[in-house]
Amino acid sequence: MNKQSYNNTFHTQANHLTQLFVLANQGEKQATDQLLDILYAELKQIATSRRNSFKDNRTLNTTALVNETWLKLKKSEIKYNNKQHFLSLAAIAMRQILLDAAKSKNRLKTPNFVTMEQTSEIKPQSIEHEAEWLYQLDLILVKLEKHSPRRAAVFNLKFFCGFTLNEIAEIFNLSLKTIHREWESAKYIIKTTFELS
Amino acid sequence: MPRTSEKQSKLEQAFQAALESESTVPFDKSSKDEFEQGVAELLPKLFQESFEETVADLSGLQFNHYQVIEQIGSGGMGHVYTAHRNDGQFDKIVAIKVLLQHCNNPQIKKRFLQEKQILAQLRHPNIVPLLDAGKSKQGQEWFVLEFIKGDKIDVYCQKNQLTKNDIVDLMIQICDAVHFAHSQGIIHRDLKPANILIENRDSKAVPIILDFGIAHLDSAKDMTIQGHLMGTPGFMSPEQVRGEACDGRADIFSLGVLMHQLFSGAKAFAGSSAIEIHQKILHEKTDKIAKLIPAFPQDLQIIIDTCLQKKPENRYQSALKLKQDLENWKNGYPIQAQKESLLKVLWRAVQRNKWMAVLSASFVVFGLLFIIKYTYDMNQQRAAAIDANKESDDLFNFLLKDLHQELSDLGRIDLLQTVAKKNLQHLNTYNFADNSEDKIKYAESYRNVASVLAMQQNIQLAIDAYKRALELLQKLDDIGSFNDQSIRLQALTLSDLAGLHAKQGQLQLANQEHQQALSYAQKLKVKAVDSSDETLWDVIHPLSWNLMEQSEYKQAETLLKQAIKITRSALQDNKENKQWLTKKYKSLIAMGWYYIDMREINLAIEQYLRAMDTVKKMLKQAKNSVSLLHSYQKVNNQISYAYLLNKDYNSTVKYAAKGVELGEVLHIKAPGNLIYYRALSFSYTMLGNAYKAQKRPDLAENAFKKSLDITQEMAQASPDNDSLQNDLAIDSMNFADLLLLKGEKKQAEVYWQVAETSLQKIASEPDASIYYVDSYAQVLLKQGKKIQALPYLLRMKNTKGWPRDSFEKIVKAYQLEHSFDEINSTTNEPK
Repeated sequence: MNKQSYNNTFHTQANHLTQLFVLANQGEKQATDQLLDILYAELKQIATSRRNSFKDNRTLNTTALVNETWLKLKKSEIKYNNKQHFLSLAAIAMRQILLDAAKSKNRLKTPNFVTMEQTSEIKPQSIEHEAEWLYQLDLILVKLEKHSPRRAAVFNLKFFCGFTLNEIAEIFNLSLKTIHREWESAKYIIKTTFELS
Repeated sequence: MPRTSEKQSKLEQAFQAALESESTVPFDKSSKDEFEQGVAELLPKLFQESFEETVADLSGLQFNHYQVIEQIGSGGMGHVYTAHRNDGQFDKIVAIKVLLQHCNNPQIKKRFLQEKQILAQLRHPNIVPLLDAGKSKQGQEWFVLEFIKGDKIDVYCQKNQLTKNDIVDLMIQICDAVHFAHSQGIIHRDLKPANILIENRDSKAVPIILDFGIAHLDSAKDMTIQGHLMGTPGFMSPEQVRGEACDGRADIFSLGVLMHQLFSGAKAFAGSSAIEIHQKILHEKTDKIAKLIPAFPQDLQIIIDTCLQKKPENRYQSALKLKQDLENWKNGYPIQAQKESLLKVLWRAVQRNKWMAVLSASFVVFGLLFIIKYTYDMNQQRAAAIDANKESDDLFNFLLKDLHQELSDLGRIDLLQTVAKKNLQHLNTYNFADNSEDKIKYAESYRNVASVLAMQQNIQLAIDAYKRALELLQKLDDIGSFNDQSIRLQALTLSDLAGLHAKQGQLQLANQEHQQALSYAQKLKVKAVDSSDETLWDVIHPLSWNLMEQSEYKQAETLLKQAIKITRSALQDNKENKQWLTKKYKSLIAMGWYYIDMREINLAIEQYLRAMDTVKKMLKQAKNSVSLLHSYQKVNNQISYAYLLNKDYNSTVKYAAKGVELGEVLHIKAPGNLIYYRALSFSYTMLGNAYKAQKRPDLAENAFKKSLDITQEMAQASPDNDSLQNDLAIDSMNFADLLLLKGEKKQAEVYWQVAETSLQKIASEPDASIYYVDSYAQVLLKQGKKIQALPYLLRMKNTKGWPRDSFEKIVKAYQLEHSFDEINSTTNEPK
C-alpha cells in the first residue's frame, strides 16, 4: 500500500463535482453513480443532524431535507445551476436510501406480491410489507424512467421529496397543467401495474 | 432464481398493459390515493428507519461484545457513544464511533477494509488506539476506540496558561505521532483542537490524537458537498480546500494552524462564513503573532510560517523535520527552516556567558563580533588590521572556551582553529605589564588557547602555549597574594603538558610532569586551600588514565579510588553541584575501564551504571545539553561493551540500542561533530556483535552495515587519521564475517581486502600502535595469509601488557602452534 496511490483516489474538487453534474446531466452513468453516492451521504447527514436538534419525535420533512442539500450546494464553491437536475438526482438518492433499508435485514422474504390496497385494511402495516411494496415500486419506476423520464422525475419529486405540483412546475419550467397530467399519469401506470401483476 | 424471472416477466407484462390503457384515460381530475401522502406517511416505518432511527437504534445496542451506554456527541461525520465491554473480560469504557456512510463503489469498499487493517496496527502513545471495528447490518461502519478523558488542546492550553515551552513540548509529541502515522501511509486530514485531547497520565500532560485515519477513511467526508463546510473549516490546507489530492504535508499545514492558535489564542484564519475562511486559507497570510503576544520569538514564528506555506513544497516536508526544528528551538539552537548565520549562533553564545552581565559597554561586544566576523570571513589582512584592544581580548579569552564548546557541539571547529591561532599570535607579541594580576590573567589566556589548540590536535602549538603559561606562573611563585592561584594553575598546566607529551610518546617526560603536578596539588591540600580538592582531582584523573595506558594498574587503582573518594566527599555537602557531578562521572568511567582491563566485568558494569545515574541526574538539570547527551551516549556504549564481554547479549542490545538512539539524535543536532558520529558507529558495532552472537544474522548485518557506512564516510574525509582507518578495517571485517556466515564468500573477500588496504601502511610502521597490529594480523589470518600474519603476531606477543589470552586464542583458532614454533626457531626477533 503506497501513500501516493492511496491519495490519488480520493479526489474531489469543487470543479470535479461540477463536472460530475454536467456529465450526469449528459447521461454519463458513472458520473451519475458518483453523484448519487454523494447525495445519499449528504441527505443522511442532514437528516441525522436535524433529527438531533428535535426534542420530540417530529417527522422529518422530506422537502426541507432536499432543499437544504440544494442550499449547501449553492453555498459551496461548486458552480452548478441546474436545479432541476440536482433535485431529480436528490429524489433518486432519497429513494435509494429507503430501498436500502427495505433490502436490509432480510425483509424481502415474503414471496407474495403485496399491493397497498390489499393490505390497507390490515393496520398497522408491518415493515416487511412496506419494504416489499417499495421494492416493487422501485422496479416499476425503473421501467417508467426508461419509458418516459419526465414522468418518472415528476413522480419522484412529488412522492419522495414532497414538492408540490406548483413547485415542480417551476422547477421544470412547465405549466402546472402539464405537470399535473404527468403526475396523474404516472400514478395510474404504477397502480395499474401493481394490480395486474 | 425462479421467483425473479417469473415475477419479472409478470411485471413486464403488467407494465406494458398499464401503458396501453393509460392512453385512454383522461387526467383532468386529481385522484385521491395513497401516493398523495408522500413516502414518509405511506411507509412510515421504513422511513423512520432510514432517516430517523439511526440514532435511537444504537443506544443499548450491542456491537460485538460492547454495549452502548450513551451518546456523547455527533459530528457531521457520525455519532460517538460510550460503551463498555460486557462479556466479562474487563470493564473498560470505550468510545464507539459510527459512520454515516453509504458507498456504491466496490473499489472504495475494498480500500476501506485495507485501511482498517493498517489502522488497527497504528500503535503510538499519542494516537488513540483502535480496538475493534465492524459493520452493522445496515451497512454502517463502526469503530471502537479507547475512551479518552481530557480537554481539547486549545482549552487545555488556555486553562492552564501554558508557557511557550510547554506548548512546544506538546507539539513535539504530536509531531512524533503524526510522523509515525505518515510513515505507515496514514494521513489524518482533519487535525484540529477538537481532535487532540490532553490526557493526564501520571501527572504528565499527554496529547492524544483522535480520529486518526478515520477521518481519512470516511470517503463520504471527502466526497460530500458538506465536506467543505464541516466542523471547524479553518484548519484545512489550501489543497484540501480546493479538493485536490493531498498528502502528509496537508497535515503539516494543519499543525501550523494549530500552533498559531495555541500560541496566540486567536484563530489563524477567521471569518463569518466558511467561504470567507476558505478564501483566506487560499490567498491570505496569517498575522504575525508578535502583534498579539509581544516579543514572540522570531524562530517560532518562522517555524509556524513554514508550516503555513500555501504550496506544500515550501513547507516542512515531513513531520519529523518540524519536530526537529521545534526541538532545536527549545535547545536554543538555530533552526533548519532558515539557515542561521553563524554570527547569530555566536551572538547567542556571547549572550549566555556570564561576563555579559559584568560588561556593559556594548562596543566591546560589537568589537568581539567584529573580530569573529572577520576571522570567519578568513580575510587575514583585514583581520590583522583590526587592533583588538585589551578588553576585547579578555572577553575573548573567557569566551573562547565557552564558544569552543558551543561551536564544537555544532561541528564548527574550523572557525575556532583560526581564531585560537590568531589569539596566540597576538598574545605572543603583547607586552604585558609586570604586575601579578596581569601575569595570572595572561597565563590563563595562554591556557585557554592551549586547550583549544589541543582539542584541534595542534599538539605542538598547544605545548608551546602551555609552556608560556608556565613561565609566567613560575615567575610569580614567591609573591604572596596570588600564590595559591598560581600554584593551582601550575599544577593544572603541568598535568596538561604531561598529557600532551604522552601523546607525542615522550613518556618519561610526561611522568615527571605528572609527579610535579601531584606535588603541587598536595602542597595546596596541606595548606587547606579552598579549591585544593578540585586541583587534586584535576591532577589525579588524567594521571590515572595515563597509568592505565601504560599498564601500571596497581598505581592506577590507588589513584582511581582516591579520586572517587574526593568526589564523594565534595558532593556530600552539595549534592547537585554540577562540576563535582561531572568529576564523579568521569571517575566512575575511568574506574569502569580499569575493571574492564582487569577483566572484572561485573564490577565494571557496576561503575558504569553508577556513572549512568550521575549523567541522568545532570541531564535533569540541563535537559538539552548536547555534551551531556554525549556523555550519556558514551556510558551506554561502555555498558554495552561490558555486557558483550560478559556474553549477556540481551543487555548488550538494550544499551547499544539506547546508544544508537542518542547517537542519531546527536548526529542531527551536530552533524559536523565526528566524535559523536564515531560513537554512533560504535553503538551500531556493539549491536551487530550482540545480534551475531544471538544468531540473528540479518539484524547483525544491518547493524554492521550501518556502522561501516559511518566509518567509511569518516575515513574518506580524513585519510590521514590512523585510528579512523583502524575503525574502517574493523568494521569491514565485521561485515565480512557476517557475509561469510550467510555464505557470500566473494562479497566477504571484497571487504577483507578493504580492511587490509586501510591498515597495511599503518600496521607496518615500527612504532605502530599494537591495536593496529592486532587488527592487521586478524585481517591477514581471515584471508588465510597465515605466514604474512606471523610477524605481526609476534609483535603482539612481545608487547608488554597485551593480553596474553587473546593472543593465545588467535593461535589456537588458526592452528598456528607449529608454524609459530618454526618461526621462533629460525629467528628470535619479530620482523
